[in-house]
Amino acid sequence: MYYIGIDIGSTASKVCVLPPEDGKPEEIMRCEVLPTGWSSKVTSASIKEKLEPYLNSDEGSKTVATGYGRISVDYADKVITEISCHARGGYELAGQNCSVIDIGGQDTKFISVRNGKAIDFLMNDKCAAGTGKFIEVMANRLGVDIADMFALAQEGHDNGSPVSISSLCTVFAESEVINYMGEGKDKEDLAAGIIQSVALKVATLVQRRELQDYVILTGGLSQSRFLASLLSNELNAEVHPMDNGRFAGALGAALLAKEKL
Amino acid sequence: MDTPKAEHYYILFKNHTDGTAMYHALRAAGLSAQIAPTPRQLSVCCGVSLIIQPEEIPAIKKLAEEQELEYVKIEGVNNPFRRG
Amino acid sequence: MADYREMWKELGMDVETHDDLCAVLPQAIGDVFLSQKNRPEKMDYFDFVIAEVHGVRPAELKKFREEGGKVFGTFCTYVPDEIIFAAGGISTGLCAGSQFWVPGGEQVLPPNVCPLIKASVGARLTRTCPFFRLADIYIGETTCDGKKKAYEILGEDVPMYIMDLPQMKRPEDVDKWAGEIKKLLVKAEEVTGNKVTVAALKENIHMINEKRKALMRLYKLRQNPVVPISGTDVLLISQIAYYDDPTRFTQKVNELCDELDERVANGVSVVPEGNKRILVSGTPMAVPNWKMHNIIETSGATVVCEETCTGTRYFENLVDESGETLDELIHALAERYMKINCACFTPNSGRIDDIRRLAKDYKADGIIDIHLKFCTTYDVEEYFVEREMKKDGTPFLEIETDYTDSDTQQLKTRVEAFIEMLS
Repeated sequence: MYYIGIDIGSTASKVCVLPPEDGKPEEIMRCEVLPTGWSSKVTSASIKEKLEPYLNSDEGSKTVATGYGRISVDYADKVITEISCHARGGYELAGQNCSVIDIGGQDTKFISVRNGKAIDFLMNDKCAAGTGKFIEVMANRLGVDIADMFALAQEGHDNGSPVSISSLCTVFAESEVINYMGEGKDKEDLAAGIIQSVALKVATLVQRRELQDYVILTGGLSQSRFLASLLSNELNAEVHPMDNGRFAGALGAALLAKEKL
Repeated sequence: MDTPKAEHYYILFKNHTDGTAMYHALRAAGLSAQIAPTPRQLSVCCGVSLIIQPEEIPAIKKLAEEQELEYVKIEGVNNPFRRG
Repeated sequence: MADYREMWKELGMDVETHDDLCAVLPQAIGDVFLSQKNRPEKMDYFDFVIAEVHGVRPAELKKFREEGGKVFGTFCTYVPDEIIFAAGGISTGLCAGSQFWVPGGEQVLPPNVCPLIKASVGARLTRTCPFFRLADIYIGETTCDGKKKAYEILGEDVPMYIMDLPQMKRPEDVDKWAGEIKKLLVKAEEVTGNKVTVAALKENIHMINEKRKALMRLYKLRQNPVVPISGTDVLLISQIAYYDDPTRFTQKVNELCDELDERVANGVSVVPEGNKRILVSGTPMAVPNWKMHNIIETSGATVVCEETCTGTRYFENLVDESGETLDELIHALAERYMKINCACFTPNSGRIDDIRRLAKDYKADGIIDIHLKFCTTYDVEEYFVEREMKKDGTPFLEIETDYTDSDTQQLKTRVEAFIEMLS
């Protein structure tokens, strides 16, 4: 039996396939990411094509879909929210009880995880500030891609001269950035200020809750050591970056397919 | 009757008194009837009508005639109710 | 399909704009109510009332006025209907629960005012709700700042009378509220031209107590492990309670309860076994705001109780009927109404006690505290509610929302995740 997790996020879709027996994370057969594009239905269909070998295999398969486009995966056996999937996947990646900070394309989540299950969660889903969307908008404004944005931000941070962005609203923050650009500030300092403001916004959300002893980052920005260190500073607790953090939702979905179906 | 089969069949009334009378008569006769607001597709006026089962329409018409129950018309509408 | 357009025109309504509301309500009622499975038969009356929401009851009120009666519009559970009925008037709730009216309210109110206030002002100023046209006078109250100030704006378009609600619960505050009720009585006498007698007040206190008892009976049935009626259906009943004829309403609720008694005895449930039981707490849900109940009950849970003004705050505690003078009866009224625990009071720890008790009595698996956007008092108070419920180990979710559908998918994700967490 193959266990398949599909996470259709607002920006990127992630797929995870566990091997037939005793799937352990280090043996994950296949993890893939592709842009969600304009339609989660289209994405879901193209994922189905890629998964044909597993879906049609004699072994059989069980599929769990998650993410904001989860209902578009009409071939899933079960639909589970991204909260439960990130909790399960995060637990697997952390190898212990933990707090998960998931910075997604459209929202930011904070999840307390015990034994692979969410015991509490918070979501910022009303506002782009403190989400991947904010960074994307700002990177566009600076004319760089996300990877360059983080590289620049690290530089600006190391130079000790990040600008201060006080507005928490994406639209107003963009005006602030434009003002700084007009003043001739360095790109590095702008980038550092932008990422710093994201860390601050995320920390403000997270501080409403008690942190577990171990804190991890998941979602599209989870491999960033820089963002993790900024968050660690704001929260006074070590936040661990995760190289496979963007797959936490898909991995969790695959594991739940195995455990719950 | 409309073909193809519509999602819901409604029986419409001039006023709510006629609607209520028909509702009680149908229920007493063991016929199904669901009180519902008149869908926009059938009338621009708000107000009550009854959702009935298409296979019971002949029985309803017969009952209306026997008991002199007033109604305006019976019509099908393709207005599926979306749960969730 | 009765033609109410003539009546609406006579009431000075903007019939064309009102048509836009008529166009969408039938589908919404189909989606939210009629799509439910295995509903109690006796919901038929309440289905009738909501299908005829701007028809049959407004027609009754119109007739009442033509015969010389006076209609009082109210906005709050603290305003004692007993006084109005005792003076020979009819009291009808005016709170508005649709986004349809919000833009009208925003023409005169700042955007960061709660949608209930914006919709209520909008419903009046855009002349698109018959109840707002039928009330001869509106009775406001000093609960939150938004309402207080909005009443000043409404007062330019319609006669307004404001009751000064205390914001603390010391004994002198109860006395003060009794004084305010007495002033309302004088006002009601002036508007209707009728004298309120001890007998009339006693009779009407009894009438409203009977209505409360019927609702208590309905709620008590939801405490059973078998869920005989959906939360969505009960919410509709609570909303109708605000504007239906009280005696008829009481009778219909009791008839429904007879059927629910049988359902409980026979183990007939509207939901599959193992469905999670949710206590909803927070701000009122005025007609036709069914948004959160619909989301919760289509996500694998069922609402078993509402600690809201369209729930327990409306009917808990009876008025002592034993008084023999107007003053005694008025004081009994003040005592009962001051037991309502609204977040506009400080401190308001009684509400925490209520939620704790209700969670236990209704065997709630979790609490969803829902407040309307820009409702400062309930938003701030959420801090205590959450802390205290977590102390008890009761799973808790906070939701802030308005009347639009723009956040439905996000809310669904949060509610579904919360229900997964309970499993």
